[in-house]
Order: sequence, then structure tokens, then C-alpha cells
Amino acid sequence: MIRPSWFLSLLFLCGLVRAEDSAYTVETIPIPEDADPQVGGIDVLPDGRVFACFHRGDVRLYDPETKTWRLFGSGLHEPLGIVAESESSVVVVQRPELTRLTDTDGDGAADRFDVISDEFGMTGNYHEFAFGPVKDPEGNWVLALNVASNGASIREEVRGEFLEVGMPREDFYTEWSKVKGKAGRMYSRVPYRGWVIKIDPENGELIPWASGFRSPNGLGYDAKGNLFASDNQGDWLGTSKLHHVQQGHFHGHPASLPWTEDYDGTPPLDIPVEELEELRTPAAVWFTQGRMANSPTQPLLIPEGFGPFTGQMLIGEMNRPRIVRLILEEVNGVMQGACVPFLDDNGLSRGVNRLAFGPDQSLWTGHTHLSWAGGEGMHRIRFQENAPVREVHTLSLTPDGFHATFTAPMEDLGEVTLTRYRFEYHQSYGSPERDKAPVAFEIERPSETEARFVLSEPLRQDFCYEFSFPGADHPMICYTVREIPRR
Amino acid sequence: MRFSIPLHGEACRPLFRSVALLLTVFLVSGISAAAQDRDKTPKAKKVVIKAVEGLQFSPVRVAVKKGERIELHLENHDPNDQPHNFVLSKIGSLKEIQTASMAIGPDAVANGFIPESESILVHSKLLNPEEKDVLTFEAPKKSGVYPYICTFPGHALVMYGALYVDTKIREELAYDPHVPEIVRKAELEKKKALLAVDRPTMQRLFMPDAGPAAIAVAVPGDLNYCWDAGNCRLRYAWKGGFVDATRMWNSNGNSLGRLLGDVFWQSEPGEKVHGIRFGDEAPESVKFRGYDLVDGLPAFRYEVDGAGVRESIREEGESLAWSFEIEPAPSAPVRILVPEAETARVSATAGSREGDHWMIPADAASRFTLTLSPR
Repeated sequence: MIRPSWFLSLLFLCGLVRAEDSAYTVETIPIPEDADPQVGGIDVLPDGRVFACFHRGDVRLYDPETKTWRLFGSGLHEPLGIVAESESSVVVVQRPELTRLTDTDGDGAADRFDVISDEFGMTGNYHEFAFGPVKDPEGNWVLALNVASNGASIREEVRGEFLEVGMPREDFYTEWSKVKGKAGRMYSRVPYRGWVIKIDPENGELIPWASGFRSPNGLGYDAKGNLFASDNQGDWLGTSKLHHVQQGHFHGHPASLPWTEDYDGTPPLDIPVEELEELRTPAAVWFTQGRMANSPTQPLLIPEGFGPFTGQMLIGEMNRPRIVRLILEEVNGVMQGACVPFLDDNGLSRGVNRLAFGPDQSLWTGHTHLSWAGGEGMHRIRFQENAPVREVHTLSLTPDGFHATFTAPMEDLGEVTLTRYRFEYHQSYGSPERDKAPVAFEIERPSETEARFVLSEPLRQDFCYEFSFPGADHPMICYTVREIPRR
Repeated sequence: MRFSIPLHGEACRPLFRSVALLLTVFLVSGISAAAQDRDKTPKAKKVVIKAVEGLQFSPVRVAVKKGERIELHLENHDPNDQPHNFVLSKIGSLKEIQTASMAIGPDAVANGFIPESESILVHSKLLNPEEKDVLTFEAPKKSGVYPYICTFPGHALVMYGALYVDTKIREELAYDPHVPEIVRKAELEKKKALLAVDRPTMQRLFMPDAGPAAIAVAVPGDLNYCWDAGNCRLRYAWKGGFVDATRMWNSNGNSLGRLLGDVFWQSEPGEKVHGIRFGDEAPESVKFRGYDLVDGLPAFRYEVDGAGVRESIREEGESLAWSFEIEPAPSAPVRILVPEAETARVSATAGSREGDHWMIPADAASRFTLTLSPR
């Protein structure tokens, strides 16, 4: 017979039950019975009420005081992002457009739906999601447009200019299993699929901003006004990434290239990988597939009052009940850095799709899955003042290794390990961890809250360095090296 | 209906995974050892198909792999004292077998009422009430959907099912053309509560015979329409229930909404077709601006070569009143694309038919209404 306590500790060892991440509590928000509980977007008003948009196209307002919901609007087409402008106005991105919903008569429900922009194309392929919106420092709207997947063809009718790239349009209507390879695993045949775009809020003008994205389900700005977008492991993505999005840059997925201004007509699949390698801006952060995150979502700046990580960013993850923390720095003018699990389990659902901070610095999460791994519903996460947090606070690169600081004094770091590996940039789906090897180092301890790691081999560019700090609440932390600081 | 969330291995901690791996290794080795002792011929897949009340097979759809050995257990549980048989025939041969079964006379009792046809692949004996039969055969080597039919006189038109050979069952039962209409209807009935809508309502979704930026609208009563926000034009109208979007809700959005009624009027297809003309020429630019909800129904706003158009479609008795307001007032006649249809009557407050268009003279064109009625 198994004693309950033994059984519990067995579960604990197996990872089925975990010690609480006690510094951060997770509250589950009840979802209205008549809503599909998949949340596409979430935003909080200055008074603490929360707007959310749901899978079936409804927009609802939640009052945390009374724990009640109010239907604000409905009928939208897969909304995947919302910005609350006031209690009577929200901006939502849905498959066909960026739309403002306004309650003009004060009855609490939107009665006016204005197109802010529908200047981008749609083929009707299911994978052409539209993500965002966020506002840039100048007040423009920023969106990210998914490419189509050859899991399906295009519809009879499309919206926007159709570009025949490497395959005539008629072929899209022949037996799909025979021609899908020619389309490309992911394809972009209508404007700005695979791009981050900006929309002028005054006249709705579309400004193509940066290309090379596959499935950029998440946009966010850091404190200095740098724009970041996540992208999902797949073809041309050895593992999932965080990109520092810069105007005119190509971020690696070639399907989007035909919409570049001086495009020469070469089908993206025919461009040699060496040429693409020259063109592309590599990611700021790699999320190691299978251990860190499989499908990262929205990056969000941490405000003051949410524990020790003010000014860093959080990012959602679909496949695990996890939120990841980003520790970014600029090295030789290039943004790069580390990612580390911030919150695991503790009542959190999988599928953290959208995040937003409320005026009380509580973090709201919205969860979804569609036909992939993920979860449902909403949570509210609060920091418990004075609760102990034992984490790697910062991790920065030095000419010969790393410098870490900790959120609490750590006299004994335990047996810290370091491994390095890299991911391929190639057309195939995903990548194994290449050239993987443990790295020896010496530790210097200037104080109990910091450590220097001097490596026994020179740092390598375009490698991921994965530490394990057994003394930290979340031991695994991965730093992606693009640039090495000069001595 | 909601998606259940499968637990993925990634969610487990490494130690749990190694425990699971050990267990798996243990179990798998145990199984393979046991399997080695048995006969080398592959085990047949056991499939049970029953004849049930209402002249139906249950299940009405079965999926198998091509070339797979099938051990088919047939059981007649029809409480109405009916004999039944089972005939599996070639892809696309349902009609042929149904016709052949009507031709067989009562003397065919000797061969179990099996019609003469080269399309028949496998058949059972005639099963009297509560009788059973077992057929062992190899599934066809060609993938596709094979009909199975009861050819007892009078049964074949309603009593059949579908053997999916190496073919994924994608279609919901309620819409699967390979199963009898009575089965589809019963399934739709089950979904009725789910598909009921509070009219008026609207939903943006992928719709058949429209561009990808489609809007489906249910007006009070039983009329519905699809408006295309791509080129800003009415695509079609239908009478009956609204839309079944179940497959879209339960997945990644790949599916089209399904009309729960009959289309009585439809415009021309084509992504470059415009619904409105000022003068004779197609407009150079049409720009969707959005819509206002008036009593729950959308009044669409768009610009055609710089002029503002407001278009709304509402119920008016048994018809749809399709109204336009144009500003500034047009200086040329306005033409609305409204092809004739046998199942619809078209009239208007002004103007006259001109081919596929309705022409409204300039002096009446700042505000006019067309009426679309099912007949």
C-alpha cells in the first residue's frame, strides 16, 4: 500500500505537483457561460476594468469589483488583440481588419464599427491570422500578419493584389496534395503576409515596416521604445525566437520577401540560404524548443510594483503553464539577451496568449489554443509584497563570459552548469541543438548577490548558452550570444 | 462544444519522463514477447455493424486502413421484425446498387436478395431478426469511401452507410453526403439548440461563395444574407436558419460557415466584381469604412470613387428591403448589380432593370430601396 505522503512526494518528484511560486499568486477569472473561453486579446482600463475579446468574436468588459461581465460587441472574425481606449472605445485586430468599436449612445454596447485599416491582403487561408495591435511611440498602430500555411490552399476569391510567385494561381485550385510543396510550407501571396506593419492613425495608411516573420503572435515595446515580436519554430526557424523588429529589416522567414519594394521576382524557395543569411537580422533571443518555450506569444514590459524585475519583459508561452522572463541588453549596438521561466504552474493554465498589467500592477493573462497546444480562460497574477524571490536577476555578457546578479543573497550557488549549442537556419522545420557541449568556467563572487563566470573557451557568436542554477527558483536560463562585448 | 486539451509530454518534468520511459520500455517489451508467441498473420480488425430501428446501420460510418484484414460482425437488432443484409460495393456505386436492388424480385430470397452487380465487393447472407453473421475480408487497396447497403427489397434507398478506407472522416455527420438524409437530419436536429440565434445578429467569418472578408447577417424572421466587405457588395440571400460555424469554432478557422437554409438570390461571383456603378463604368476605388448597428442590424458605410454610400438590408414582411443612401447626390444614374434569379423577385422604389443591373436615375439616386423577395 502506498502511503498518501509518499504518493504526494512521488508526484512532487515527477513534477506533477510543484512547490508554489509563492511570490506570485494566480487567481482564475470566471468566464461567462455563453462565451467561448479562448481569449484573443486583453487590456485593462485605468479604473481596473478589463476588456477581453474571445474566439467567437465577442468583446466583453469585466469588472473585478463586482466580478461581472458585460457584452460590449460581437460578431468579429477571430479577434487576436485589443487595446482599450476608454470604457466606450476599443481597438481590435481581427482577421480582416484593424477596427475601432465605439459605444456612441452610452448604453454600454458598441454601435459603431470603424475600419482603421483593411489595406492588407487575405487569401482566406486559415493561417493568415492578424496579431497586435500595439502603439508605437509616435502613436502609429503596429500589427503583425501571419503567412499562409500549405496545410490548406487559398479560397476562390482573395482580397488584395495576388502575386504569382513560383506557381500560377490556377495551381492553387488543383489537387492540393500534389502542388502544395511548390507553394512553400508557408507562403505569402497577398500583401504584407509575414510582415510587421504600421498604420497611420490619422489616415489609415499602411506602412510596411519589417519582413521575415512566420507566425509573429505577439508584439511589445521595451522601456526604451524598442519593438519586439515573437516568432514560432517551424520552417526557417530552428527554434522559436524573439526578434528586435527594426524598420526595413528582414528577420529570416523568406516567404515574405516578394513584398519587399525592390523584389526581383525570384521565388523565395530559390534564393540560396547563404544569400538569405546575408540579408537577415538574427533573433535577439532563442527559446530552446522543448525546454524553454515552444510557442512564445506577447512580450510585455514589467512595470514598477510587480516584484524585483521592473523594466524587464515577460512573454507568454502556449505549450506549458508558463510565463517566461526576458533579460535583454544592447551589445555592440545589437539587442540580445536571456530568457528564464518566470512562473510555472501554480494554478496557471497553458496557452498564455495575451498579457496586460492593471493599474494595481496585477498581471492579467488571456489563454487560447485554437487547434494547437494551449489553454483557455483568464488569470490574474499578483506579487506578494516581501515574499522571497530567489532568481537570477540579470545576466549580462562580458568579453570572457557572463555576469549574473541575484534577487537575494546566494552564498552557495550549488552546482552551476553551462552548456552551449546553436540552431540551424534552414528551410526544414525546426532544428536539433547543434555543436552541443558543456562549457567549463571559473566563478568569481564579488558579493553574495552576484557572480562572474569566466569561461575556459572563447565565447562563440550565434550560440545559445544554457545555465542551470540549482539555487534559483527557476534554475534554467538561456542567453543567446549575437555580439560579444569588446574588452 | 469545446476542445478538450490533451496533456502533452512537454508539460512533464524530466524525472517523470524517465519514469514514464522506464514504464513504457517495460510494457512494450512485455507486449512484444507475448506477441512473438502468436500466429504471424496480422490480427484482423474487429468491426461491429448493427441493423437497428428505422432501417439504419449503426454505426453509419466506419474507418479502416487499406488492405487491412477486417473481421466484420453483423448483427440484426431491428425490433421491427425486418430481415437485413450487408453489401459492400465499389466507390461511387451507391446509386447503381440501389437501382439494382429495386429490380430484384421476391424469388431472390434464395441468394439473400443480393443484386447482380460487378460493383459488389463483399456481401453477407440474409440476417433474420437477432441473427448474426461474421465476414472476414481484406479492406480494398484503393483509398476512398465505399458504400455499404442493405439490399433487402425496399431498404436500399434509406439503409446504407460508408466505409472510409484510408480516408479521414472530415465531414460532420450532419453534412456527410455519404450517409442517408435521415441520419443527417437527425444530427442537425441534435445541433439545433447550438445553432439557434437571437435575431437579428451578425457574424464575420469565412463564407462560401464570397471573399474572405465576409459578413453573415440574420434579420428577424427567417431571412439571412451575406455581405462582402472586400468589394462592399451583397453576395447572396437565403431563407431558413442562419449559419453553422461549429467546425470553425472548434478549430483554427479553416472551415467555411454553412448556410442552414436555401439561397434564393445570388450575385455574380468574382473578387473583381463591383456591386455599384455611378454612370456606366465600374468604379475605380471602393473603400470599406465600417458599419453602424441600427436595431442590431448593420448599416454598412463605404466610399465609391470618393462618394459616401450607406447600405442597409432589413426585413420587410417576407422580403428584404435593401436601401442605399449616397452623398453627395449622384449626378449620373446609379446601377446596382442584381442579377435575376428564378427564386427571387426584385423591385425598387425607382428606376428599372437593365440587364444584370438595376438602373436608378440620377434624380432618385441619393436615396432608394430595392426589394428582394423569395418566391
